Amino acid sequence: MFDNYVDNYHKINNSQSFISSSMAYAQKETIGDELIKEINLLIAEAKYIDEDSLHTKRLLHSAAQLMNADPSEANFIKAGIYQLCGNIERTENHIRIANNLPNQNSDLLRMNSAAALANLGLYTKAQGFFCEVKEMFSNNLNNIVETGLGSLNILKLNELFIKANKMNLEFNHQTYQVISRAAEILSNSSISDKDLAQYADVFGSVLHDKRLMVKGDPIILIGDNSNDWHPETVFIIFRVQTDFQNAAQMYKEGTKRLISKFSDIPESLHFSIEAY
Amino acid sequence: MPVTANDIRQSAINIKAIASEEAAYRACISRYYYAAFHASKDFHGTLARPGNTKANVGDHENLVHMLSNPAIPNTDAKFTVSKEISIYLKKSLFNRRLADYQLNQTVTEKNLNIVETETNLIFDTISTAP
Repeated sequence: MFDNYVDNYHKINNSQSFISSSMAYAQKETIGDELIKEINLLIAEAKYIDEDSLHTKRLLHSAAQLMNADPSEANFIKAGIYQLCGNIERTENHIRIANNLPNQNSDLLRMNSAAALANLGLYTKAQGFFCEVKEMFSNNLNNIVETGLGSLNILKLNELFIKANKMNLEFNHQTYQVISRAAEILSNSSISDKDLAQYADVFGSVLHDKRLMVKGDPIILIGDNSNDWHPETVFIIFRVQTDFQNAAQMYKEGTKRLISKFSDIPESLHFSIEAY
Repeated sequence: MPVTANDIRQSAINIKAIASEEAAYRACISRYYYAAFHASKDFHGTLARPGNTKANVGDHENLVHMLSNPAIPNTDAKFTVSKEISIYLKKSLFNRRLADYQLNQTVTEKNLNIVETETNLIFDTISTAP
């Protein structure tokens, strides 16, 4: 698919990194923020790291140093490191622990948990955390959009856009247009965010099997009359760093798994994998 | 002299070999789509029964719909292949329409490479179909 932003061709592609939280103690802030910054840089590369490498061990050791001062954040950072390793079990385990411990900003932790799970292709679980955010507008608006898109909460994001407009909060207009149109198409086809996530999980499983991470958020394109394309369709594209041939084979594998798992895939929805 | 879907694909390959500017990339994407369309149409013709049609739409959209809604039993090995091809063809059609009608967008060689590999996906799926 094509890259540029123009009228009638709607695309969204934000990065899906963690959000650095503000910390109360200077030393803790330094270690925690530095670790999150490093994790975000690695996420931006969209490549899994070796769990047994010295680099990973160093990251885990640094996270362990935070354990006494802020066990919730330390566990979340560990989750982030295991997410980078592609270790679903350990990521989910540390996310669960982090969310069950007292922490300074539960909503931020939920947003970050959603981001980590979406990066592993676990869209249903990611949506769960995103929807549990209580005071959504206490978060940075860009973070809301990035995490909402990353976890494919299209209808939820549309609701938030409508609320934000009423509150005179400013969102990116083009993003709003795409989300609004996508939400309309999904609603017309009785597709919920949960439905969307179930389908996306299938493609997420293919990417995870191949140890490939989505580069940025999934891209959302709208097929409708404005594109000389009459059937209204929401195209969701997962971009990964690989060659064209491998991407096409993963697209095929995802499609086959989707057909095998769901007898009625809505025609207004389309998933694919492309080389970045 | 009649031509086949494979001939059209070969034409796309030939265009790609000399394509060095955007108009040629667009032309090539369009050729690849028509190769995919005709190959898919030929495949649909091999089904024991045609798929369910969609009213008031053009041939291209209708073919995607018929492939997506095969009227053969789901125990027929071609049932899932038909659905699979419909998904690939739908994206190809979207790309073709963008390439042919949305002139204010930039189309690159990379876009063409994606379209090429996804067209090959359709041909490969058909050639290995039961």
